[in-house]
Amino acid sequence: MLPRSVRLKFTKTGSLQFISHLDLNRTMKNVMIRGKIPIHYTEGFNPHPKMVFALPLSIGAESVCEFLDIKVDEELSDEELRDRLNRALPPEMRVLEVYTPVTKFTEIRYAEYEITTEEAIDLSPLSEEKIVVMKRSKSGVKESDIKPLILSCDRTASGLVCRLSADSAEYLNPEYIASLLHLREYGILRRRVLCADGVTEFR
Amino acid sequence: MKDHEMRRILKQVLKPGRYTGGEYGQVIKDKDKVKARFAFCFPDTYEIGMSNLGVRLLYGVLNREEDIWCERVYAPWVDMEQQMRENGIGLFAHESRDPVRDFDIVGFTLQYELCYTNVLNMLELADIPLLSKDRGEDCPIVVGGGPCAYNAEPVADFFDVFSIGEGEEALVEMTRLYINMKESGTYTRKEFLRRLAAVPGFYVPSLYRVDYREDGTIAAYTPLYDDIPKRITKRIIRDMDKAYFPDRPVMPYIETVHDRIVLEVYRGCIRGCRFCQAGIIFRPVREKSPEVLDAQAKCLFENTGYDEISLSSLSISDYSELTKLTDLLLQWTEESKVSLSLPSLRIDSFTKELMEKISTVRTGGLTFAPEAGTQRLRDAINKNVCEEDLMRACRTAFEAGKSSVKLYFMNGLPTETLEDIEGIAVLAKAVDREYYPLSPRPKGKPPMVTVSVSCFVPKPFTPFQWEGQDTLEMLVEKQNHLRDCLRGEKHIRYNWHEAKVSRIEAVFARGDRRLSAALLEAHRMGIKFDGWDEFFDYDKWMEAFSGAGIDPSFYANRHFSVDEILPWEIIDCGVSREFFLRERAKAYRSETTPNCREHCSGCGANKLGGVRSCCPGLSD
Repeated sequence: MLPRSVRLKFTKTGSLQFISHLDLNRTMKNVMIRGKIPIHYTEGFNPHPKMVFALPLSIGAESVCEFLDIKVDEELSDEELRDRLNRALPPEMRVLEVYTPVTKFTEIRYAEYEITTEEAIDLSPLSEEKIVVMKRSKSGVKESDIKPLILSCDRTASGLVCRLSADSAEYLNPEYIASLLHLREYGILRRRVLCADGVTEFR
Repeated sequence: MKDHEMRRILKQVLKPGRYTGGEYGQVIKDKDKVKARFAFCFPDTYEIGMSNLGVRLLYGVLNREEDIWCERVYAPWVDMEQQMRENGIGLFAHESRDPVRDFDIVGFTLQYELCYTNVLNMLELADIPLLSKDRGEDCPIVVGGGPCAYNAEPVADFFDVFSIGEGEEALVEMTRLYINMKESGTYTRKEFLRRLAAVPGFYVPSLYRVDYREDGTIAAYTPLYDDIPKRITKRIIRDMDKAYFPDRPVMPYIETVHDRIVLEVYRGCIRGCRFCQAGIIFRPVREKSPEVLDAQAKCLFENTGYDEISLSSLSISDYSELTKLTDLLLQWTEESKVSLSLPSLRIDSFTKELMEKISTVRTGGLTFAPEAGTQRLRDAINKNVCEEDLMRACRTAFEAGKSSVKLYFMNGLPTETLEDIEGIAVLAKAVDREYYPLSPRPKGKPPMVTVSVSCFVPKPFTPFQWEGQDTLEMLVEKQNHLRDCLRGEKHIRYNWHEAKVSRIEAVFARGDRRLSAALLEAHRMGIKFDGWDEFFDYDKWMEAFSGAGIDPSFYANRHFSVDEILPWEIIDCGVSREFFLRERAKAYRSETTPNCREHCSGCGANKLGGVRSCCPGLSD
């Protein structure tokens, strides 16, 4: 049979927020072997399992919506794949769902984050017309107006929820919001990944 | 400590993954349901500690006991230490993040002398009094183990007890005794240590009085009680096939030094190189059978997901069933895309057949250890390899497509002269010359021979234990002489170890209890992470020694007399003093000793018993 593409939706929480994307990648290779996942290997001189992650998470953020696409060579149900993976994963990483991909990675536009803190929050810096920060991009650190990258930002009982640009060209790290609001101790959780309309969930 | 506080701190340090835990395979227990909590401390960074096979073993074996919970602790890197001190956070355990101070037993593995200052720093961070005598009833019991425990005298004042030899059974027995005494209400620190001292393999330094002669040498070791042994005999595991094996190791997220399956093939060594401590203290040779190893490797592959297996031992080609083992492994590893690596290959065993089996060895090149430059000196140290062995091994490597080889040597060996140093250069040049006449060799690539030279450090429990180390000036002179001999050689790269580091190592390797004062002084001066070039500070060490009134050359450079009581002779490692003396005399005559499989040289280790692979039984 031809290799079948599947998408893994998984969580990465607790102590795993400090594990970098590179380390996650290496861990997943081990997980595929431990879970006896019939992952498809690339052809060629140095075959390796092909894995594509959507939207790398920065260090210090937890998430309940990470995505990883792989190809499998054997006929195994989505549920069986999920269960095998969960047996091979550490407790702070859970595969929520395995399914055939619906949307493309390139359709990702926004991500929704929850910032929790016990500190007082004053949202006024966000209502300025322009929010200029020193932003790191591929071309180095430069002044940049991040206002257009903030779709929404609302107070909640435990902090705030914001939807920020997650476009590959204009990704806004939620740390900028926390620092604008002068938060000192807080946590960040990625809750949803969204398409262009800001409502439809990436799937 | 709150999650958000921890997060703020971890955001500010390098490699936060060193401190977070949460790895696959870590053991979490309900702290209210266990009877004893054991903090297993590795006095260096997470990346180094996680690669240590002994830690994996002891973590597994302690946690196999339902009512004991063993957690891991590593030395925080300096940036994390600063954060901890600024935020009033004490040393905490990896799994629960509970303070180490609240544990029942705190164990340190002592892998190398240069970690001693880190032990002190970790005790301080844990808020445990540094000196055993200052600890009260509410303090954990502090136990040390590992290779340096064979001469633990320099750190004797900081430890309540040492576990000598292989700890798999001993540490469980110790924790059991602790639990039993707690449950029966008979526990006090004093009574516990007193009873532990009577258990085989435990050395409680405070129960032995040391007297010194006027010249500074030791007059006597006296046990304070009649029911504790005059010398402590090391513990060994009898049957390696039946020994506990860690089948579910903790899987690190961040890259560690040995990020692969490490399969322990056998313990001990049949060789008896005269400078080598490991080859003596792990005797007698006890092997696992190939079938057991194959099953263990398969189990580790399935439980870890690693795609590389490294066969671990002191000298893998001396494993009596290596062919059978590699054949068994290759039956499934190739299909599963798992590669095999064989570190510690001896020059005389490096053949084409073996090379093909490990065709997956990393492309970096191969390492051989002739150790000395001339046959005379190689015979004196009982290395038992000759120049032709080396040439043959290098030819095999070159013909198989390798263009670089690395050669390990030592300088400052007993009986060494400048001629022996020159011999290193002659040998390296000869290896370089082997390359071009070969027809199957990497095309268009010049060869690269790396000569890496460390300094000889006399170690306890070796035939060279009495020898003084060359002075710093002599070591540097020899290093410079070799550099001159290799000047202009385009294909030879020359690395040497910092002689000052080796000198400090020598002081502590052959040190006695009085060195505790120097360690305290060094700790007070902020010395730590001595094993790291960026922190090692020789001048500060000299200051620490003089502050403590200690002459380092008394320990490092002095030739100890054979009539002296040596500080480590309170320990019986199984190998007799007579054997060391015989071997020492042979070294002076440049005479070799055959390996244990060819001929038993009566070292005495067979008295320890166990299922041995080559030693005879006891005659009586």
